[in-house]
Amino acid sequence: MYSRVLGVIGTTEDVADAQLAADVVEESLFKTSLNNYQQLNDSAAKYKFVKLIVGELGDQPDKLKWLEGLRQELKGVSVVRLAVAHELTMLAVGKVVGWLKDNVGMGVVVEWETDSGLLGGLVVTYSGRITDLSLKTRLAEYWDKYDGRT
Amino acid sequence: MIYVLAFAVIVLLGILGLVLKVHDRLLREFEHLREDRESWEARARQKAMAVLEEARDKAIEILGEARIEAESKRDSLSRKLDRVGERELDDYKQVLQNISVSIESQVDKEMGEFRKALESGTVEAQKTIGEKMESRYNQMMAEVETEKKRKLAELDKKLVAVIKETANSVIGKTLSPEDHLELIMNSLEEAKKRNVL
Repeated sequence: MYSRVLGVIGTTEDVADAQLAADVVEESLFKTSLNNYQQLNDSAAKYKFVKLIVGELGDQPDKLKWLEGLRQELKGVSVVRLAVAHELTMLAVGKVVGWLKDNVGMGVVVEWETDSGLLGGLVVTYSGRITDLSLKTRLAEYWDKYDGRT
Repeated sequence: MIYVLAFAVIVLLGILGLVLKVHDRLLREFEHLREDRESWEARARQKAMAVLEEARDKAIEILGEARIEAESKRDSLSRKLDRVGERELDDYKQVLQNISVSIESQVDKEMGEFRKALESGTVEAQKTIGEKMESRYNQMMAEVETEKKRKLAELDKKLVAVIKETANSVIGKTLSPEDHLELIMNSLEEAKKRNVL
């Protein structure tokens, strides 16, 4: 029902933007024009969600109910915190998010964190579990084995 | 009465005359005795002088003889003393020589013993010192070796730490964005395998 919107939301920032966009769209339902979209300060990201929500909302018989349902979906998304060594390109972010949507679920979003000390790889925090798969830890494990040999 | 008185006077005169006569005689005798005494005294003085002179001469003579005798005795005594002295000196020299020889012998003996004791002690001391020095040297060498190993291990540890840090840094920096992404994707796959996701 909300797959088109949720499919586009990849990060916690997207969730916030989508929630704001839902509020703006709801307000616009009671006004004569959509000019109040200007309050989004022309943010491309936020505007993207407005257009998406408006597009989805056109087919819905009870628009307010649909918007409320969207808000609940947005509140219920699962957050996967991924710590990486360097900030990723948009393309890389899209690939990671796509993988998560395919393998974990549509209602999952990423909260990014950058830590150059990790060197590479990532540290996953999900459902209260932290799994360190960083290059730093892998190298440390390697050096431990190396020390054990020498 | 007058007669009596005259008689008495005459008697008295007679007595007086007698007394005077006796007195005169006594005076003469006294004078004579005085002369005798002086004469005797003179003679006695003369004799005494003679005796004194004789005695003095005799004394001088005796003194002369005594001096000569004394000189003779002194020379004799001196000679005797010289002889005795020479003899005593010879004896003394002999005794001294004997003592010297005895002392020399004793000293030689004691010196020999002392030298032996000293040599023995020195050798023992050298041996002990040598052993102690060797022990101390070995101990120090062991300490040096231990310290060397510890330092080398510490250095090795530091070196390895530097190598690790450098290697980590180099590996981290030399990874391309594609490599990073590949690592991330592989990590996600691994997380899935571990049921983390």
